[in-house]
Amino acid sequence: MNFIIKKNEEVSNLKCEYCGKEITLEESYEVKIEGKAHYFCCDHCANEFIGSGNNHACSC
Amino acid sequence: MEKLVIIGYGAAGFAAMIKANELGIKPILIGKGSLGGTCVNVGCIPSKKLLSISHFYRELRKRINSNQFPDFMAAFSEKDEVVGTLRKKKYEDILNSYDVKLVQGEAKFKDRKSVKVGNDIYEFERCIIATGSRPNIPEIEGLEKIDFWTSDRALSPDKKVESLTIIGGRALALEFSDIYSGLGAEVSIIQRSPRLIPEYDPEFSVMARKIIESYGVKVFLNSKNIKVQKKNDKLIVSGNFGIIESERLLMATGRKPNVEIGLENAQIELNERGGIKTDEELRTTNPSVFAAGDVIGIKMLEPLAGRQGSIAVSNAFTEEKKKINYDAVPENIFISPGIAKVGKTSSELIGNMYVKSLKVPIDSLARGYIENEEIGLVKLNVDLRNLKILGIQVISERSEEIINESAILMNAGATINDLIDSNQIFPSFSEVLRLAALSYYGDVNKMSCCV
Repeated sequence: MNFIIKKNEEVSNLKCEYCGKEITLEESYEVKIEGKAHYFCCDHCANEFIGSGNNHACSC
Repeated sequence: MEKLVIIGYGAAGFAAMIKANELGIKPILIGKGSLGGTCVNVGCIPSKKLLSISHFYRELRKRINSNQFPDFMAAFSEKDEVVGTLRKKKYEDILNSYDVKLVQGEAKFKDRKSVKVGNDIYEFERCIIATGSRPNIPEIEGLEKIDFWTSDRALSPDKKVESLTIIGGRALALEFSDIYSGLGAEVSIIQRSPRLIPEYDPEFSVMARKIIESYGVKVFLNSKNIKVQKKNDKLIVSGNFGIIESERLLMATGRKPNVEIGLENAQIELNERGGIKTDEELRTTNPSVFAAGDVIGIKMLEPLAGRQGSIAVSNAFTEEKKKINYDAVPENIFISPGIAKVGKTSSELIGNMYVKSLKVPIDSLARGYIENEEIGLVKLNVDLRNLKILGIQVISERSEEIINESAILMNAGATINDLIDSNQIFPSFSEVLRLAALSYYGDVNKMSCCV
């Protein structure tokens, strides 16, 4: 099998919108609010961001 | 007029037939193709046999530091033997034990109360649709011009395959990547979503990738502009990930319900997934007709199909009004270690302020440590108001057994205290559920083996 892999085609690194931790699309929790996608490192941060958190610390 | 007509003789159709006999009803069972439907012929049974061979040799290579792979074609012959035996034992032979009239052919609804098979018309009091599903093929540029595989063909190759590209990133893709890499082929997975198994929480997707990459499988996520073409006997798949050349291309892009049976003549509507629309009691928009199994298109799982077949007949002829608790339907991906879930994921629970996730890595478990398991995790989602378990996800060896226990807990509406108060075998893998429950009250790393 031959691979010809392009480099840096699409950078998917991003930051958790609640705690700021660097994450990738692959490991992110995605929440759509009013049609816009927001990305978080864990479900706790997502809950805190949308105001329904239970005050647990970020779990990762 | 016939009391009951069942269309389809896979898992759901057979379960419906057995239930009908229990109720003293002799059904007409109509089907086409091999008896037993997807599961025994081109689904769970053949794929699990091949996975078992792949896992045995992978473990052997690891343990004795060898480079021994199974004989490629012999593995498929072994699979054929298992399929033949189980189809005979579990479907062909048992048919003689029941009072049923078997009709082989293609059924179409003639009107609201009858179906046609060839020139024969069967009027019915009740009908169960259990026509199953087939591979779903999305539109991809160039696909119509090449000879690609679906899962059915990937289970019966005509010669040894050296390289395989798989489009898809859910259970089918993962299991086939395990099978073919385990048989010595070079395998690549192209997934259009940003992660594998997007129906699980992201940490499980990341671990799933680690597992199949440990088999040597190449994974390309977030793939866009996918095109395929044939060049010098090779299949070329290109996109934003670059160019991949391989001998075979497998489309592992899910399955779709078989609904081309003249539903419009019987006034039976479809749901948003293209399956047959039913109420909770599995009744279609035609009150005399029920549906069961993959043809509903909600969750395509063999044991669920069987349960639905049985429940559909029960609801068609009794006042029991049985329903499926979909939160207690387990799923498993049979790679090694396996990946399984039941109930709600954290992604599905976002916005619910009373949820806490309890996570324990598998190497916290004595059995995991004994077996040298490095990759593994269990996650319990718990309602903080009553400590009820809302969902369980697991990556572990024997995940299918762990998730069976989890499904019983979910069906019983169990709390983490119910788990903690249970006695379990030590050392076992399923103990990890209790360990996760204990983590609500304390740090499991500071607990002795049995607490």
